[in-house]
Amino acid sequence: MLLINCPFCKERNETEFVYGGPVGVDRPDPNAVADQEWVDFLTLVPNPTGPVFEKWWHARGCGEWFVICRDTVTHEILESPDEKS
Amino acid sequence: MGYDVKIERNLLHALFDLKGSVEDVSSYLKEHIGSIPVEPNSYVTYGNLRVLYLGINHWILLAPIDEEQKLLELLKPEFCPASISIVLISDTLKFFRINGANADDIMAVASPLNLNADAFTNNSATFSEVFGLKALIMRHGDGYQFGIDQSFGDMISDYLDLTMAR
Repeated sequence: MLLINCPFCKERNETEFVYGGPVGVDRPDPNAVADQEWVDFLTLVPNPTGPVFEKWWHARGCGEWFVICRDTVTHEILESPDEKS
Repeated sequence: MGYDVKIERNLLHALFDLKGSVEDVSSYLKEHIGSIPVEPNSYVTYGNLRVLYLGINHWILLAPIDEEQKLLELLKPEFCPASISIVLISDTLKFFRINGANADDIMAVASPLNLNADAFTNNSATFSEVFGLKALIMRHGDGYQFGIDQSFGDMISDYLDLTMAR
């Protein structure tokens, strides 16, 4: 179980959050790419080994979206957002 | 041996959802109610009114249900500044109060939130989970009060009975 540091609520249980995908993945133009490429974009989540920046949504908390850097091997959270108020 | 708790079920409160910048909401509420809380996930009390700070630019005003009309006339949501939003949401949440010596034990089963006194103080209020549902949790007397989507009221009532092994 991960403990994720929300910028508003601080440390909370992973179950309160929804994974929002990796940061910086370019959204292709669905009218300009092949169907397979578009389906891949929608359904295949990149899962590189090592540190990755990813978006998380505190859906069952304050509702904030934020970015963390997580190591996909150890699940260690290497960077959390600064606290906001 | 059962749990030593008293549970009040499916309670309704007057609830107003307030959104806007800190400056705008603070200015409007100060004029009509009082200052807004500063600490995230905390509340301030004015008589039987509570102003809860639950998210960035998000507050909830909570009061007894019989004060709903009076607050509507006081806050005048339809005439508030365009930069803030005030929405009456009283019918969206049903509240449960759990008080007694074993209130902590029941909440430990129901919610993953850290409810230790140093982490969740007397004036704390936050959205978290109760039995896997999004819930508005706050302390109430020697126990807790939480609100969940009103359509799950009876289900949560059953879950509490199961937790207490009734």
